[in-house]
Amino acid sequence: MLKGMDRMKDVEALRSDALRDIAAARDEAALEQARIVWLGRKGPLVDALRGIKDAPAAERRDLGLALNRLRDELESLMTERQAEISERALFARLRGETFDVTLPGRPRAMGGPHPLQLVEDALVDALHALGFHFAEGPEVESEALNFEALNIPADHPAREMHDTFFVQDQPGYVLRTHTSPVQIRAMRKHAPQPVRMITVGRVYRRDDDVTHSPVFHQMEGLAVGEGIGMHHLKGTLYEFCRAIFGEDVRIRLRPSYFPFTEPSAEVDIGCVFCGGEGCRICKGTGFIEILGSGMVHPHVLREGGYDPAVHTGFAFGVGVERIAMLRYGIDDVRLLFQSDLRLLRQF
Amino acid sequence: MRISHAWLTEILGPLPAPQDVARILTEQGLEVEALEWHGEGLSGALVAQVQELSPVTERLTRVLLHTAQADAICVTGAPNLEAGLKVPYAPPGTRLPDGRTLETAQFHGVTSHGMLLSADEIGIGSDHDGILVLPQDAPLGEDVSAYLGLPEAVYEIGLTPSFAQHCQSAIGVARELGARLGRSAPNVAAQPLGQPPRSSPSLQVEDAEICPLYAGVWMGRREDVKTPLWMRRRLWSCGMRPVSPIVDLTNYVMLELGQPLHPFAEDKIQGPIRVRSAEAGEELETLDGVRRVLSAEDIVIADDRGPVALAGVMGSARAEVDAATERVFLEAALFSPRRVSRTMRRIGLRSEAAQRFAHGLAADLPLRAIARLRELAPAVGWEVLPGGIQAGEVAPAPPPITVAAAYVRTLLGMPLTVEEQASALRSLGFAVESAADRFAVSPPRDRIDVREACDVAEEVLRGVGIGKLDVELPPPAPAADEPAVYYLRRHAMQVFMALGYRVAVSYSLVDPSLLATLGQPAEAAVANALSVDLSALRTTLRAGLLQALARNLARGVGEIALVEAGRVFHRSRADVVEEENLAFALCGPRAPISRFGQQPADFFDLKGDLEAALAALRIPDVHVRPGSDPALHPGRQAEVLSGERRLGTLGELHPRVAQQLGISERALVGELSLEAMLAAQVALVARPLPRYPALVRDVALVVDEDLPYEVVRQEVREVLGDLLAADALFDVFAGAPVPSGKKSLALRLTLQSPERTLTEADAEEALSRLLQRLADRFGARLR
Repeated sequence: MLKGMDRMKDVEALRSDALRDIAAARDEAALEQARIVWLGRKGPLVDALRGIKDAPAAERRDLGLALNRLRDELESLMTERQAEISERALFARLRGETFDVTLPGRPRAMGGPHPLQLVEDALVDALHALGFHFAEGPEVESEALNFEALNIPADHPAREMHDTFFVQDQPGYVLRTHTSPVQIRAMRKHAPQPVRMITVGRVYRRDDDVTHSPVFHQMEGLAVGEGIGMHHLKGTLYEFCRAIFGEDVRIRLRPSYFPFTEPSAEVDIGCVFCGGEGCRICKGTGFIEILGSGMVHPHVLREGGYDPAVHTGFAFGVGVERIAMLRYGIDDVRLLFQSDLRLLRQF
Repeated sequence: MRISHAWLTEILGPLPAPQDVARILTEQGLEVEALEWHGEGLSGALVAQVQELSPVTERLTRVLLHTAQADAICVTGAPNLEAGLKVPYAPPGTRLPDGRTLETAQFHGVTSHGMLLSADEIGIGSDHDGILVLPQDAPLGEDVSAYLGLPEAVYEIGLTPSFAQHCQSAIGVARELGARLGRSAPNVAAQPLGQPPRSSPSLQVEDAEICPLYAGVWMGRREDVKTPLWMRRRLWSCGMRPVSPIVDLTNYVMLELGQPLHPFAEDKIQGPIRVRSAEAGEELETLDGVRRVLSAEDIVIADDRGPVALAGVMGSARAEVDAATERVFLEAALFSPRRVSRTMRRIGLRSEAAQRFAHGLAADLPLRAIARLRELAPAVGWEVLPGGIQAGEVAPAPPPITVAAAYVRTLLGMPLTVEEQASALRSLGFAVESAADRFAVSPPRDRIDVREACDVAEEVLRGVGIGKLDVELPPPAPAADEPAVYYLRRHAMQVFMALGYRVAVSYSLVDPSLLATLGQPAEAAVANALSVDLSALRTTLRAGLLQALARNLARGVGEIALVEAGRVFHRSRADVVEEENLAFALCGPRAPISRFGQQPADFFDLKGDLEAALAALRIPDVHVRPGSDPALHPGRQAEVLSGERRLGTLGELHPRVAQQLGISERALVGELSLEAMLAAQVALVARPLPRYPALVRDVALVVDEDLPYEVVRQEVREVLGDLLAADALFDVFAGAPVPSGKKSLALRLTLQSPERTLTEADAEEALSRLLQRLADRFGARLR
């Protein structure tokens, strides 16, 4: 039994023993052990609290206060200690988990587009945004649609510019030399309603060198309706070239000749390499030829089922390879048909 | 074609600088592809006079020259010198167009102070076997460049077929340039030939179709002079070689007016002159010394002894004009453009004449050319004799074209008045009679390309300048259906790119033996292929894709994943049918070597990609069954289906096919029909999220080793029906402790009901139903 000042002294001794124990606890288990020893039901503090009733009445109040304060203090110290211990454990774990972040990542093979596909999609999307709808036609096409309907009769000098592949065992059929027959198909489908059409696809010519491939791609646009004029062609081409070559593009129309358009115009853009100063690529002219265009020839309109006295229209065609070669600086067209991954992985 | 700035200046008067002329011509539709400067870089050469000649050796001559300041001595090998001639002399220090700077040189002990120059050395002509002899009035001591007007600008113009009809002449180009400068180019008027001279041979044209007009005159030589320098320079600048005065004259008139002319040596032809179709197999030696076997398509000029010219293309060696020729019979004619064009293409001889005839000529041009010939002949020492023979008449000018001014306004989108349109046309030499809102247009006779109102509209556009066009967007049109397969293809390519594939583009023309190797022989071929490897239309995209794969391997490129979409060509009865396919291939590891290890792709890589892609593309109910494609490994290939619809195949390339294609590693390849995919595709409709928890059960089944998993899976799906939210196969195992001939399949089944929370008892009931069925059907038991 504790007595008088002795009791208070013992509380002090109890405190310093408990503090030593808590400070010595290095891990969760040791701290838990200390908790049981000092704050447990059978611990000295509980024991002392129970003994308050045996103390003289004059001491009871102070003793009670001191013991309760001690209990609060120990509990709070244990919580603090607990936080320190988990902090230290986490720190140790993180240090153990540290690795060399400069090691390379797990490699992933990325897929990617073909330059021709990039250009095709850009061309189609640009025209789509201007209200043209997409249409298609066969690659094995009748001579009638590939030539005659487009105002290119047999022996027309323009046939020389279209060195044609003929289809075996199918007289009157060729591998289309341009995407223009799709114009006739679209007109026949929609006449006499107005039409705004775009197509893209493969075409074939008997040509094989650095700038000509026997198989290549064209994109073609067509607009027919009442009151369509050449200013609409120019406006469309301007928007179209801006979408492909950027906001600042300059365009120039030059009179030209195509059997299926009259008037016809070749379209140049300001050279994208030298900005119009003149360089090797634009042969010093400051302009690069991009596409052919014109007002649909009355013969072609009639073939498409329109009355040229009422309806007018414009058409234009672009070589996809040419745009791709210009845009990406590729100088041999054959590279576009080899699927060489060393090229494709750059896209 | 080529034309010099000097020639255009002579026709039109002083012109803007050549760069500006080039721009104007280009904007007018005559694309100047190159602006050449002939004689550029010559400096220091002087006009000198030959005083005295003395031989040094058999070939070399010592020439004493007189210039304005001093005398000089030169040694030359040129054969064409005589005392008194004016010549270009390049003293030491002179720079030549080819970059050389002249110095003094020693020849057999004689010091040559510089040299005398040929046209070739000056840079204005091709003639390099003699010194360029200058006219006698050339001022002594004058700078040669200044005297000759060097450097001389020459335009090289690319002609479209329509401009080739009226601009293969100096006059034609000048007319176009003049329109933009407000000048007009004078033309020569046609004149009748007069009566045939006495004793002239008869002229028979077999068919007016092949030769609507044939005019012939006789010419006689009056003096023996050289072609004057100005005429030779014109020929040079146009890329032609001077030959002899009479030939140079005819070529000059052709270059000026566009009408090819042909001189025959009169003493080498005899009897009536006939214009007829050639007989197949007939032979003719043309002027270039080539013996040609003719076809019935060709037109010939013939005399008693057979053909003397391949009409419109080239003359014959037999009737060739030579140095002794005193009289010529000169032909100016029109020949069928179609026939000349065919002959030209058939024999591959694109002569200056043929290129003009092939595009067509104005009906009165032959008579205009003869009139011009008459004017110019004395300059080369010849004379056109009076009279001539002619077959056919000059066709009258076509009636005027009536054009509504409103049509032109609409077509060009330009608010031009009738008068503005008329004056634009007049600037190009058109005669115009305008009324209130329409006008009648008569083009110049050379403009055979202008036939209807739309042609006139183009002329109005060129008359006002194409740069004046407004810029406007067309009004909208109603929406139209679009081919859905195009959008599926684009979507599919995006999906395969996301899966790591690179997009390939191959030729659709392939070698038929390649298709045979793949067991899909060609069904359609090209009749006139460039080569056998581009002669058949592909029946499978795998042809190009596997070639691309082999090419990449050969270049040491690995980790191949390629996808291609495009058309394949089949035959259905007589017609070629085009189908849209998509093919994809893997070879080697999926990613570059790394510390994480690397494994070559196998069948299940390809199949995993296929399953992911088809799921992303909303193709439902995808499953496979063993396939029988001859190009694929017989035990490692499958047909792909959506429900009952066949979509395509996939598998490992057959080792024998791989070897034939030069593919040394295992390659995986699949091909799908985009049209079949489109038919199978379902609309995207979001399902409600599950409201009740799922129960997950793993079961390991022991079944016969050769029982296909797909069969088990179908059964599981059928028995569990709507309760089955997901199923996965997470282990396949054979060998002890599984009895031999059996395998264990470990499945994870996710059970879920949209209506309520499933209980343990529900799961037990469902699983025991499943196990009972699997036991009944396949003798399956739990492991």
